[in-house]
Amino acid sequence: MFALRGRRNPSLHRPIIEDLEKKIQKIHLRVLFSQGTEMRLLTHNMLSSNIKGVTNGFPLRVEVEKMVEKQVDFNADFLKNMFTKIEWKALFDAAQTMGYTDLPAEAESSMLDSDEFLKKFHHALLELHLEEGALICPETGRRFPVNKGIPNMLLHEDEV
Amino acid sequence: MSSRPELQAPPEIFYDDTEARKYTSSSRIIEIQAKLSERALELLALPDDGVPRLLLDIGCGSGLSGETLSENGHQWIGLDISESMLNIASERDVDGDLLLGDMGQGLGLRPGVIDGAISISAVQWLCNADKSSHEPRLRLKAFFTSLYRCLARGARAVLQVYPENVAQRELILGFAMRAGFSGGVVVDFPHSTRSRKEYFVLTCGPPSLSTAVPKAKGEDGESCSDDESSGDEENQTVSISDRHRPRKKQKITKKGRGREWILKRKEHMRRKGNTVPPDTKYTARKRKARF
Repeated sequence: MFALRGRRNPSLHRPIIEDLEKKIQKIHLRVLFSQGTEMRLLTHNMLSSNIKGVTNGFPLRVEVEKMVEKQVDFNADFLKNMFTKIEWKALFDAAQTMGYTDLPAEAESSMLDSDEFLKKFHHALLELHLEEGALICPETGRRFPVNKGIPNMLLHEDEV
Repeated sequence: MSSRPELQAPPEIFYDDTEARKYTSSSRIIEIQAKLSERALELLALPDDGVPRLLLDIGCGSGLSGETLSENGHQWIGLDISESMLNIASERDVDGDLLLGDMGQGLGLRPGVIDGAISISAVQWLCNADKSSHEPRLRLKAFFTSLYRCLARGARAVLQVYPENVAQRELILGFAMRAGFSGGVVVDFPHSTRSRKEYFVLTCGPPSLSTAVPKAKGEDGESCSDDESSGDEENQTVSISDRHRPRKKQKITKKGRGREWILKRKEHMRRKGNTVPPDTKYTARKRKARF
C-alpha cells in the first residue's frame, strides 16, 4: 500500500527528475572542460610522510614534471581561516619549485588585510596544481609518485 | 548469501575499473551517497558563518560524497585505497584533492589542520584482514590515532558505517574512544531494515555539552516513508528467516512396530513362498538396553 502511493502520484517524482537533469547538465559541462584533478599546494602543505620511525616527515620535497595553473574562485574568508594552519616556509618553498616567485618569504597575519597579498596567497595555495611528479620524504628520501595529480601515499609493508 | 562487499575481496581489488564505473553510474547509489553525505555534513555541525572549511573525506571513492561538500562551499581532501575509483573521480573533475592511501596505515597529515572529517561506508573495511600483514586492531588503532592527531581541537568526525554485528560496532567505537575521541552512535531510522543508517559522531577532546550526540532521525514514530524510495524498498524486503524449513518430522511412535506387526509380515512373506524363520518365543523379543 505505502509503496504504491508514491508511484501513483507522478508529481512526487518531478523534483527528483529535475535534480537528475541538473546533475546530467553538470556532468556534461565537466566532460567538456574537464582536465582531471591535480594536487594543489594546499594539500601539499597538509601532507607529511608517516613512514614508521620518521620523526619529522614535513615538508615533503616537491619534484615537478608537469604542472598546470587553474582559475579557482577567490574566497578571502577561507584564506584567512587557513592562514593560521599553513606552514608558510613550506608553501613558499613549494611555490618556488613550481616556478612562482611572487610570494613574500615571510608572512604575518597583519598582511591579510592587503588584497594584493591575498591574491598571491590564493594563487599559490589553490591555483598551482601538480599533475605529474613526486613528493619526497625529507628524512628517508622515499619517493611518493604523483600520477595524474593523485599522490600515491601507500606505504610498503615494512614501512608501516 | 552475503552481499557485503567487504566479505568478497579487499577494497583495492573489489573496486576495480568495472566495479568503480558501475558504482559511479548507478543513479541509485549516487542518490544514496548524496543523502548520506548530506546527513554526515549536518552531523558535523560546522559553525554557520559561511566560511569554507578544510574537510577530509575518508574513503572518498569516486568523489560522490565530496561533491556534496563542494556544493556546500567547502574545500576537501579525499583519501581512498582504490586507484580505479580515484581515476574516475579525477575524470569527473571533482573539486577536492585526491590521495591514494590506506587509512589503516594511518593518515599522513600534519597535526591539527583539518576542520572536520566525514567517511561514508568505509570504516568497516578496517575490520577485515586482507593480507597476512594486516591486523585489524592495529589498523583501527593507527587510523583513529592519526585521525585524532590531524583534526583541530573541537573538530568532529562523522563516520557512516555498516557494522556487521554488535561486536564490530563495539570494536570500532572502542578504538575511537581509546584514541581520545568522545561521542557516540547516531542511528537514523532504527526501526527500519533498509533505511537504518548508523553514524559514529566523534569529537576531538573530552566530553562536554558541545560534544553531546545529536538526535537521530525517525526515532519516535516519525515515519521514514517521506522519502518514498526507502518506503518502496522496505516493502520489498523479503523475510528469509524461515527459508530453512525444519525437516519433515519422522513418525516415531514410542512403542515401535511391535510383535504383532512382525508376525503379520512373516505370514505375508511365507504366503509369497519365501523362506522365513519359524515363529518362536524369541521373535520380536526386546533387546537388552546395553546393545
